[in-house]
Amino acid sequence: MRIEEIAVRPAVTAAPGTSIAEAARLMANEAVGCLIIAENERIVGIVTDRDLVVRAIAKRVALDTRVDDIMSMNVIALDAGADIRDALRAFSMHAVRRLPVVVRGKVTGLLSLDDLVVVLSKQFGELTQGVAAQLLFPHAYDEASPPAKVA
Amino acid sequence: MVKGHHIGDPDRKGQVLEARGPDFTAPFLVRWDDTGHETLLFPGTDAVVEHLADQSA
Repeated sequence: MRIEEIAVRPAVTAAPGTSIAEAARLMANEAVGCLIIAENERIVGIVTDRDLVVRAIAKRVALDTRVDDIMSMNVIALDAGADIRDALRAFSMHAVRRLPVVVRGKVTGLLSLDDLVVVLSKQFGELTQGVAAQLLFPHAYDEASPPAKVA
Repeated sequence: MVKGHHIGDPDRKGQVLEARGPDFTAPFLVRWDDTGHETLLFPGTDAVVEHLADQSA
């Protein structure tokens, strides 16, 4: 399964010069926990609600400070055409909970670890459905396919 | 090379395999030296790109 087939959330982006206060308002209005910081549609960083708390509020940083002062740089991303296993690998190798999804370098969405868990749980549920039914109704399966008679 | 951001964090080194953006720009497909796995990276201003030719000089 490819990343673009998963319900990837639209990414909310902000310019590097956005203030911390405006970034917080944007997160609240868009109901998201992170912003992709982009310049000319190119990712330059990422800032999360936790960054706002730990890097700004806890350190009494002025709320009109530019968000690029507290953002994380060196952003790991996923290609929209990559396989779901690439996402699993990226989440396991890098201590992140959200990965921007890109097409030819331009951000098109965001994949969260939670989204991935939901998709994998659903797939796992489908996989076990047949086995679960057999455990619950073993006789029904026996009657449906009686053993072949030998002449 | 990507610098560690906290005390004790090691610098991470990797090899740029491809430029996936237009005109050889980011994101770069990077194979990390420490784990051997490959990811797309938008390098920050603290990342250093060294060309192989520079290392031989």
